[in-house]
Amino acid sequence: MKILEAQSATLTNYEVYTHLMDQRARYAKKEMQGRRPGNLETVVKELLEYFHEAPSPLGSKPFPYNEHTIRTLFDRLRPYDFTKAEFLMILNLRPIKPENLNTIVEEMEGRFPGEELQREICEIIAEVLGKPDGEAERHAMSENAIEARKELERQGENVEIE
Amino acid sequence: MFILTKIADLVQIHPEDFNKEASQAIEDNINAKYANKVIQKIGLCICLYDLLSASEGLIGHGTGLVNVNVEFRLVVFRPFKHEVMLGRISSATEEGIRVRTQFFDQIFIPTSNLPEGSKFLPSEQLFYWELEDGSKLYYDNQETVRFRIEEEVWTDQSPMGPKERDDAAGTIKSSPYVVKGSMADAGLGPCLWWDGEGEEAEE
Repeated sequence: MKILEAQSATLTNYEVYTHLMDQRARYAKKEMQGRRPGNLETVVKELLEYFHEAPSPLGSKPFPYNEHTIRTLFDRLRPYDFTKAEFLMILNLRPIKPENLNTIVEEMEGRFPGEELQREICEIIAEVLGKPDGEAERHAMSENAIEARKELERQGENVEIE
Repeated sequence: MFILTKIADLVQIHPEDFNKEASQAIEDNINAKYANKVIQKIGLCICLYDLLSASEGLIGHGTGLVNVNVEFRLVVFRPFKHEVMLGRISSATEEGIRVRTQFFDQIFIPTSNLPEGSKFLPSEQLFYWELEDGSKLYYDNQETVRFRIEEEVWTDQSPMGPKERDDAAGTIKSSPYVVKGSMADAGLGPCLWWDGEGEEAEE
């Protein structure tokens, strides 16, 4: 094994997601002989679960991305001069509130002073990527947490019985 | 969160895979070797992204294996410094909070990287954040949280000789790749605190 280039490109979550979905479709379609390696199945399944879990935009409906999204958002945010890393995080996390944008953008108050400007940026993001159903998302998050805690409890009980 | 890494490697196709298409056999081979594994200073490999080139297959002496030199790109999980990510709290100790995602569970938020006013509750094994007005917000287990990547820790896990093993006895084997994060900023921490609708959530 020889590493030729440690980092030849960065990918957005959306790109990884489409790659995994394409791969799945390809494997399903060809009625391919044999199974795929088990370690691959594991990581792909877990990664897709992660992508689908609230509040990830990839899990929300309607699906917020298509092949033009990156281009469109990039063009519309051009005047604000975001760095590449910031743009990547905006795509992945879809911040539509100034507080959320604040975690992503460094020195936000210095670069984008005033709530009005920050809201304007959030508006653009919401226009291109859509708005999450906040209520449903929070509901899903609490449900997930409760579900996982129950699961842990069940496991604990089983151990005691054994 | 994800990057592409270009790698050159030798793929050996076993005779029982000869009924597969060559490209598929190579893909499976690469995935079996790399998927869900950590390469030092590169990250957690997810799967093959694309095959860039492959040599003619050569059969070596003594075995029936077909040897192919390939160049390919891998999808790799390697969050960059200061990237903001989502995860879930899996447990907490006095030292800090452990966070995991479905596919990667080596994320740690040390106590020093929690917002000011965060305290550990030993009886519940939880952290809470005390606000200025005295109300408490809890970092419950399994809660979805937002955090920022601050540091990565690599531990080489190459096998040890018997002598080294004796020396290292008693030390806990740490994972090859651990990410340290921070929640000490407005907007970081449990998503439910910040994503509330309406004005009351906005300070």
